[in-house]
Amino acid sequence: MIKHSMTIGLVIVALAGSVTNCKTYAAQSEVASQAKQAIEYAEAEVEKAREAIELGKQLITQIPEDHLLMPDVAQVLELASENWKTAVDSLKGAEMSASKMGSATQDSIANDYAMLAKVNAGVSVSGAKVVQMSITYLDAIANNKTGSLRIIRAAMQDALESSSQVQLSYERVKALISQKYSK
Amino acid sequence: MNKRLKQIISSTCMVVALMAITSRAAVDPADAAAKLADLGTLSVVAQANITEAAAGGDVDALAEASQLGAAVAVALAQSQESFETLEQAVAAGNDELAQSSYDDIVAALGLASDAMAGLVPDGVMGASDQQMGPQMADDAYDPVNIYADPSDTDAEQGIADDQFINNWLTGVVPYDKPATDT
Repeated sequence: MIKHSMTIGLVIVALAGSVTNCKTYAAQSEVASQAKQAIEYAEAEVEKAREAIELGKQLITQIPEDHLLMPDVAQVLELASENWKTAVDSLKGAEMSASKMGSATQDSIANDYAMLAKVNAGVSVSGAKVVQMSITYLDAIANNKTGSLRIIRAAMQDALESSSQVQLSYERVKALISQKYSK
Repeated sequence: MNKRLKQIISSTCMVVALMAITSRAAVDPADAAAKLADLGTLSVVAQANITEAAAGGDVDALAEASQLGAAVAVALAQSQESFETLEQAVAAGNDELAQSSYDDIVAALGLASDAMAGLVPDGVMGASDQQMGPQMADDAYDPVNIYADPSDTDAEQGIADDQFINNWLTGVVPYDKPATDT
């Protein structure tokens, strides 16, 4: 009698276990789906940054060479350039990781590729946003919106700090995933 | 029959309880770091939102954007602390503390991504459908006082400028400007 009860109990647990497995697959599929969405978002933000750079080219011609803030303009361009490179390179990295998701031999490996893709897409979005902010700053200078310059400066400063945090986190994710497979 | 049913139920409960105890996956620090990265990205997006509002000249939009930016910054700072605690807990083999630190990060990301709804596409940084931890206290919001002059003295302004410039000094030559201009 007790044996039968135990058997039935185990069957119920086995059924529950298969439901749990389904949930695990669903969670992994959700990570993969989030990675794809993150890449699409990064692509859109990089495109916006590209358009902002085109606008920036026009704005620069409007700023007189002897403008008081010309040193700022040069520095903002440098910042935009650096972050543009980060945005484009990280997007390529995200796409590369995403392409490996499908060919991974294990779900856990596919999951880790998805994680890398998602974080890389985040680095790309951060870089693209900093580019867009840089061009907004140039626009404020070119169009004498001096009232907003300080606020934009402060926001850019905070964005740069957060962007550094994103890159640092990406390096952590990469290192922690490498550790998993080097054991 | 009733007795048998009771036995089945109690056996099932025992096995399920044992499975629950043994099957709770250990916290993955890489996953926690990825969530921290998401929060950082949200923070950058929030700051970009402030920039757009400032450029647009709408005081109300700017105040709202600043409050949102400050809230996300708080969530990011708290999560950085939680991540450090998580790393120490993992190193020390303290699974309970590691799990609670991870839950804090998930909760902070959930709140931040919910707050940023509309600025970031749904599901991209998503944690909104995940288990929520304790709500962020109202007093955790420390909105930026956009009406205050950030630099009351020339010295403070100088320090602020130096910090700002220091962040710009590294990097590659701009694409659209000759190297001599930088």
